[in-house]
Amino acid sequence: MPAFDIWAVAAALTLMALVATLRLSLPGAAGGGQGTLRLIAHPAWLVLLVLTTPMTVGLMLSGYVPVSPTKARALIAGDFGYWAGVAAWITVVTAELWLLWTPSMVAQRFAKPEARDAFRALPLFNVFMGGGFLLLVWWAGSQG
Amino acid sequence: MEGDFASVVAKAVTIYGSGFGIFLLFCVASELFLRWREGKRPLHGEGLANMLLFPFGPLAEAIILNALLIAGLFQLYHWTPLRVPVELWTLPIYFIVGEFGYYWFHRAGHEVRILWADHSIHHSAETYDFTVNLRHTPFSTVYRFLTWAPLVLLGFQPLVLVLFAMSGPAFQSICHTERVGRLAPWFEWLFVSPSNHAVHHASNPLYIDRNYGGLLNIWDHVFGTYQRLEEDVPPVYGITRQVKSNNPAKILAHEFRYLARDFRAAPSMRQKLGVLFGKPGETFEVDKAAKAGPAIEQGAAA
Repeated sequence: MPAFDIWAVAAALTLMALVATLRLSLPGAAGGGQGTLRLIAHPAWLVLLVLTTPMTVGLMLSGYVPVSPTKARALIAGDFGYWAGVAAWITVVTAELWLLWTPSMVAQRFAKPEARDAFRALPLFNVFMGGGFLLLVWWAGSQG
Repeated sequence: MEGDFASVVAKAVTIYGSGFGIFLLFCVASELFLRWREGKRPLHGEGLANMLLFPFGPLAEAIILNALLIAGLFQLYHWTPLRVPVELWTLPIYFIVGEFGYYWFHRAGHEVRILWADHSIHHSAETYDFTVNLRHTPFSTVYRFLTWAPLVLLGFQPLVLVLFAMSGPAFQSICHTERVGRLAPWFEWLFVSPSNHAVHHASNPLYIDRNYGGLLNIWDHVFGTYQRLEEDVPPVYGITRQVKSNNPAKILAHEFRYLARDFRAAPSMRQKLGVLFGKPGETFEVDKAAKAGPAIEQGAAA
């Protein structure tokens, strides 16, 4: 019988949060899905992100986790095993979606009618801010 | 061993806080951007005043105030024989108790007049946008100490308690906006959101002294202070006695001036103490006494 790996559970939970994030990130996808897909992509999984996303961004800022999801996976897998690496990859991708894109989509979706015009250019601004932050962190990391 | 784990938790919460700081920075930047897109001046007078009040919050706290707070609470921790261990299984307890501590710190800031004189600085903004996050107050460390001291005397480790009680409410950083409407009902019930935090910042009679939660609304539900935003009652932001000025000195002194005036004028020691420690709006006030005077005379004449 294979040993129970808590990181495999963590990877599954973070995958749900990633799918829920993707559902919010793609225009028109928010209301879609039925049955199992609806359960997997349910916004309730986003609750995990209250903890994991600021933590991941803080870890990037402190230089503990690289900006590249692939490098983050390799780093964490080396210390904690395969499934921890998978969970790290998913968590970094999710955090970067929240830095680069998803907030502007959520803002547009829940915007009051009078705010919708102003929100139209928000995705570009989101990419600019999030991308700028990630580039800065990547550059700082590459300087050692 | 416990000390080692506590320091790991402290470091983790600091890293978490710095991550949230990035989102706060993004929120303020997007506020300026959206105002520009709406054809408004990106930095309005009140927004600038909010920014000028920022040093009283995270900056002063990071430099000295939190260290004083934690040092003061550790004095109490050494006096009590009770201990709640800091271990993996107790962290959810620390989280819930941290929320409880934040709830009572925040509620005291609203419902004790001398504390309200300080906390009203954050609430006196008449607009509700991301820059309000920066409108901090100078004395909140004092009532953090007062409201968290009993929890420390019950054995909660001060460093971990303070970090939990202050990092969860960082979530409110993304809530100070009018542009986002109501979110999913379950989320609105459980979490602080732009909509239910708008209620907290409103001065309408229905909304006053409601929604004190930090990250979760659970303690508001427990103590009956939760109020959802009603469609037919649009929030009026600010305080009942608006500052009507963007001068940071006037904003800082506003309620303290009324407090000093009413304290001096209160006729008895009991009323003076009431002015300091009573509920705002229910204590002796010079204006209220002046207004009540003719009414009493009319009542007597009738």
